[in-house]
Amino acid sequence: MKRNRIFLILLIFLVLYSCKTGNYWKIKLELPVKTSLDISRFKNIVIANFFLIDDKNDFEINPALLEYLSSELSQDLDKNISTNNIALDNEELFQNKDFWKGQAPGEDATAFLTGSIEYTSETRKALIGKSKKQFDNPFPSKNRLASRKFYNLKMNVYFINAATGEVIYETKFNETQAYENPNQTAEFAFFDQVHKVKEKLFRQVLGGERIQQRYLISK
Amino acid sequence: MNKLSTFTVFSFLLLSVLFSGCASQLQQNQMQFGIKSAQKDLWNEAIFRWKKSIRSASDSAAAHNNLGVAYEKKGMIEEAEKEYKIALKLDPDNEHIQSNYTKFKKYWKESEKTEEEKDEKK
Amino acid sequence: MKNRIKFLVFLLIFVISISHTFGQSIYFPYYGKNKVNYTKFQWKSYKTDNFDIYYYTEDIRTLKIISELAESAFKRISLKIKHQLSARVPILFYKTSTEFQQTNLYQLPEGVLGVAEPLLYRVALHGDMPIDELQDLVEHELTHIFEYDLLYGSPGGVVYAMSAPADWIMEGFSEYNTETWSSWSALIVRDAVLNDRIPELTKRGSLFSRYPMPRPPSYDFGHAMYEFIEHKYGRNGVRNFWQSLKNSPMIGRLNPIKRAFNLEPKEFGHEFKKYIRDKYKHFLLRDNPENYSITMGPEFPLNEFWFAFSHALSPSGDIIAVETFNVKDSDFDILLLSAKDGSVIKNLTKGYTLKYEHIKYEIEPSKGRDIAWSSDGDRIAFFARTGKKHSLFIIDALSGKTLNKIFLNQDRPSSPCFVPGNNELFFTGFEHGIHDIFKLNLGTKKVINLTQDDLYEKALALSPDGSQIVYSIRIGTYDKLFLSPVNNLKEKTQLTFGRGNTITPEFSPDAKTIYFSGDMREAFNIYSVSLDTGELKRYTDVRTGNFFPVQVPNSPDTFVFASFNKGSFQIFKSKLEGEVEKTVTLAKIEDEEEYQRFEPLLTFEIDKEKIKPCKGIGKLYMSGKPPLDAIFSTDGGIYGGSSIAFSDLFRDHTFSFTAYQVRSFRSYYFSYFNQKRRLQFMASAFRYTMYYYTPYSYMDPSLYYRLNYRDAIATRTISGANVGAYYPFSRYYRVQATFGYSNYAEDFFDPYMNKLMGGTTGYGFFWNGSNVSGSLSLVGETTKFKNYGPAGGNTFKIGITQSLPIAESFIQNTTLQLDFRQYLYIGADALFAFRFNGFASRGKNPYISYFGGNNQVRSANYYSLVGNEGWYSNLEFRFPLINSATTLLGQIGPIRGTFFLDMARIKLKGYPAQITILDYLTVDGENLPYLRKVDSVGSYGFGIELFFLGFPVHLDFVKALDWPKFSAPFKYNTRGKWMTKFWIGFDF
Repeated sequence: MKRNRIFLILLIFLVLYSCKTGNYWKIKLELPVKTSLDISRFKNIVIANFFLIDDKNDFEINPALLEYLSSELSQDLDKNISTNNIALDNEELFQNKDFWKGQAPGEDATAFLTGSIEYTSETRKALIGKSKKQFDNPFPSKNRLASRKFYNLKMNVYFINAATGEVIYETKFNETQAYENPNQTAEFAFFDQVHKVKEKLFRQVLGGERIQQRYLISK
Repeated sequence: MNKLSTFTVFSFLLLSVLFSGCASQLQQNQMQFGIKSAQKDLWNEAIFRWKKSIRSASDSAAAHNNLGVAYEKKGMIEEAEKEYKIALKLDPDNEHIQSNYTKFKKYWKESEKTEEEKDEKK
Repeated sequence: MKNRIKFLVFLLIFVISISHTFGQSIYFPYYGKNKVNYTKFQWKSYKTDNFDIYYYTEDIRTLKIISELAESAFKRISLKIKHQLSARVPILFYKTSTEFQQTNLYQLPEGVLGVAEPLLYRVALHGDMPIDELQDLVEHELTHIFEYDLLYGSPGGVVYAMSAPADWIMEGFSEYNTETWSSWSALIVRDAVLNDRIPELTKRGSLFSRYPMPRPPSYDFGHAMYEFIEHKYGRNGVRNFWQSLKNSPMIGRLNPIKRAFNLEPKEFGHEFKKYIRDKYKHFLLRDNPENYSITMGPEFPLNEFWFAFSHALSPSGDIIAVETFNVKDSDFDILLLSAKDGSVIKNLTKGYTLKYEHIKYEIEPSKGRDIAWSSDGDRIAFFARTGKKHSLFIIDALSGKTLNKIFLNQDRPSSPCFVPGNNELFFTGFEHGIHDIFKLNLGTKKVINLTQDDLYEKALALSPDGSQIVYSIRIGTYDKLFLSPVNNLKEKTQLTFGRGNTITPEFSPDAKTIYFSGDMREAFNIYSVSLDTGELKRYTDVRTGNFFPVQVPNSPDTFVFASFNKGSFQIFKSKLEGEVEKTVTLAKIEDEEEYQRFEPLLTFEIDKEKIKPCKGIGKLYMSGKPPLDAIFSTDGGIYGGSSIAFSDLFRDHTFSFTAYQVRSFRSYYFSYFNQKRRLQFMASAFRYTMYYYTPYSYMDPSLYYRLNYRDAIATRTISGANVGAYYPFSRYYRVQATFGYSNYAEDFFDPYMNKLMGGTTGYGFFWNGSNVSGSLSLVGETTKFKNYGPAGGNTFKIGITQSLPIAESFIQNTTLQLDFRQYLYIGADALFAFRFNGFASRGKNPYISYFGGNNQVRSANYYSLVGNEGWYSNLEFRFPLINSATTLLGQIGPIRGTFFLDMARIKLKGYPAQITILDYLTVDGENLPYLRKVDSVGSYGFGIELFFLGFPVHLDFVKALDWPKFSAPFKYNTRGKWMTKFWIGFDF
């Protein structure tokens, strides 16, 4: 009798389980991110020099930056991407409409990408506790003086309409990165940081996708 | 009940339940096909099927909800909001529709708000 | 085409004529599907200068056309080859392809256009095609006749031939002599060359392709080979090649290339490849189809589907319905594919069905699509073969459930088009030999011919609002596009002009543009013509061919189309930009306009006086080379036999003589078979000698130890004559009946045995006497076969045989027989096979049946279970082990495994239904034999089957079972050691 009862309960459970209606399905959507700037009306993007604030670096920032940005933009944008060595003396020039109108006269569908850069570095030292073991130093000493190289990149980025000379979009970035490797060069660190800037800038300007979850219902 | 008959009855019931009793769940219909299409990222087909569902059953909260999701995916925000609202009106207690609409508002409306704030600052 | 005796025909004769020898069905356990002769052809003959034309239509025009085409072909080929035939050529002309498939000459699969055989120089073909294509077909088949004459000297000479040239030599020459490259053939060759898939010439001079091709390379590459020979050696080179074939001894025919050109096949192949690559190199810079997009499945061998014969886009544009070939199931299927990534969403026609024989397909795109998707998105239409002709099937687009099935009288229907918002469907097809456009009402099933002219209309498409129709018409030798309002197809506007074919038209969603495929640049590219401005644009410049362009809804520049790539059609989806090539002036065609028609080389009038009806049987001819067969059984017996047959010109009447031998026992059989009508009948005379092993358990058990079962061999000789008839209800089911006289003579093979039994046998069941009996059977075979044997479906035969009480001395009995088999396909070539075979004979002289051994009851000795009533049952699980393996002895495979279980009962009149078995009892460490009676015997075990030289070879490991009481089926004994059994024979 007891065994029969167990069978019956099991049967009811199986009936209910197999008759489970499966009413809803979770679905992951890749939804477009709204862009802060509508770049679709421009056919040409000209990457101009960036104004260097207090440049004490031992490598040329502008050629490296322009080449990097033009290569990345060409991959993601179906537009004419070019560079232009426009001499910039001061930051006020970005608000000078006539200046920019004169840089690409007669071109309606062109936008300039430019801005200012301040790239600095400093070495910081501190007393630290036990260091991490490394293969060439399995018995690190306690309480020793360690130093790190810090690089800081500040960028103001402007999109300027070549036809009107107006700034149509501006944004700021401030990236700092520390390196344990004392041999890390400023140039290589610059690329690490400008890569992060590029990710954020492109998301703002070109958009992208974010994953969201929704429910689909059948009944 | 002896062993053999218990076993026989149990097996028969189990098999009949598993293979026949709930077979209706396996039937393809417009809603199910739309969901299958959506899962395969075929949103045009999903919209087509759910619109058909609505034409034959305009009070289907599920179809309106699903259409809202599809419009959201395609970036048709106004249409999506309209469908979510209809779905909620038809089935206000449905937690899944509620969840969808809440998330919809949070994602799209907040980003609009941020834009408005930026414009005001300018 | 070579002549072969169709073994199934022989099998059919064999099976239906023997009423009481189902024991012999151990060798050939299948009943066969039916060839249904729906039409009784009233043949008439007409003699031209070189041909005897046989036809059955009333229309004299048909006779005129075929006569003119034949004589034109003869004149041209004879002059080209510089050879005159030694005999007249009979041409059997069938009006339609479905009627052609009813010919008794051969068992013809779908798609065969014509055959030519070397025994009587017969050519058989059908007329379901445009006249210019029919001319090419006649030239192709007639060239075969010239080949036979060159090789064998005269009709029938093939019987003495020990070897034959490679297929490409024969088929290639036939294609070469048509002096035409169809767009389709050129496409196949070009694709293979550009993808570096040129077939190789083997050492023996055959053409071998490593890659699958839509048709054997012997046709198209054979054609290219002859053009190469002409290119390199001139026309004389071709003639010299055939001279070398003609004059060489039989063995020398194996290497005609060496004889003719002094090149080894490999060198010749190398030169040929250089030539053909050079010929097509200007295509190299054109689009590679794989650059358009990812492939939308089928993607054989990445999935099991090969070839996209036809496709239709869902109304949303996200899903593509594709008609394809399922390589694993050897069947045609309709799939739903994602237009995003080509993944298979659903197979709408999965598995086997009896609703139709197969889905209709067309390889050549100019005939149009074969499937359609309704604009409401809920239905898909296709055609499938159902008996004599085809039916339209409409299935649910989401589930595949059949919604409607409408049988059509029109032949080879194609191009289904749903009428939007209406319960109608347009299609094309042959009616009375003319290809027209038809409208079908899906509710009333009424069909109306909308064109009713002698133009060849095909490949139609309807505008989205259903008001206009675009289609192609064969004008001369080219397909051109025309537009008409749906309510008046007499009103035509020509859309395309000039050289080149324009096919597979489709409307744009706004109905202002027609997209189509055109070969104005040799390869088929996608074009469009604007109905407003006449602007002709080209969208692609492909190296092979693009077809069936469909614009994706809401995406003006995006198309889904089929492209020929690497030997098959694949679907692609791409954004395409068109270039304006020119502007055409669309021309409204007047009713009385004369279209350019194809004219044969010779034209003449028909002399009606010379038309003669064909009556009676007519002259008889040998049907073919006698075959040789061999089977090996578990008792070590080898069955060997052959037969010879004579039939009339149409093979409606066949006289055959068969002789076979097992051990030292010979059997002879003579029959006349009439298969002119649907009801087929035969008369036969026979003398069979069979053997079996009498059950010594019914004799003195003490003899059990002194004799083994091989000593108890008894023979049965049956002499007699009977008549039989069979009527097929369909391809799968038939009823058959026989009536006849036979005389039975049975005895022990060893006379000493007879003495031992005291003169008359303790056995007492030998039949000696005369018997007049009639039998009636119902036979069904829906079994689907794969290369290894049955794979699905079922087979059955239920029969009753009644001996008539002519006289007291005559044998009298009533015998019932039942044979039933069911196959349950699991997947991956694994299946369950079940068989039940039962018989019961009652009366004054009940019939003795026997079974045992092989795969009937594996633990029993061969044919040692003997009785008047009994049954045996088998359950097997068959599964694949190895698909094929290359060994020192050659290719073997597939190799399959079997787990089996069998069970049997038998009863002899006057004895209890028990079987005596020998068992062993261990007493004081010694195994003492003793006899034991049981209700049932059987066996279980496992076995391996492999195919070697075409023969199915079995090695089974068997454990004997017995059931003391049949009423307690779960109480059984295993007995003895594991036995190893070897036998050659087919699975049931």
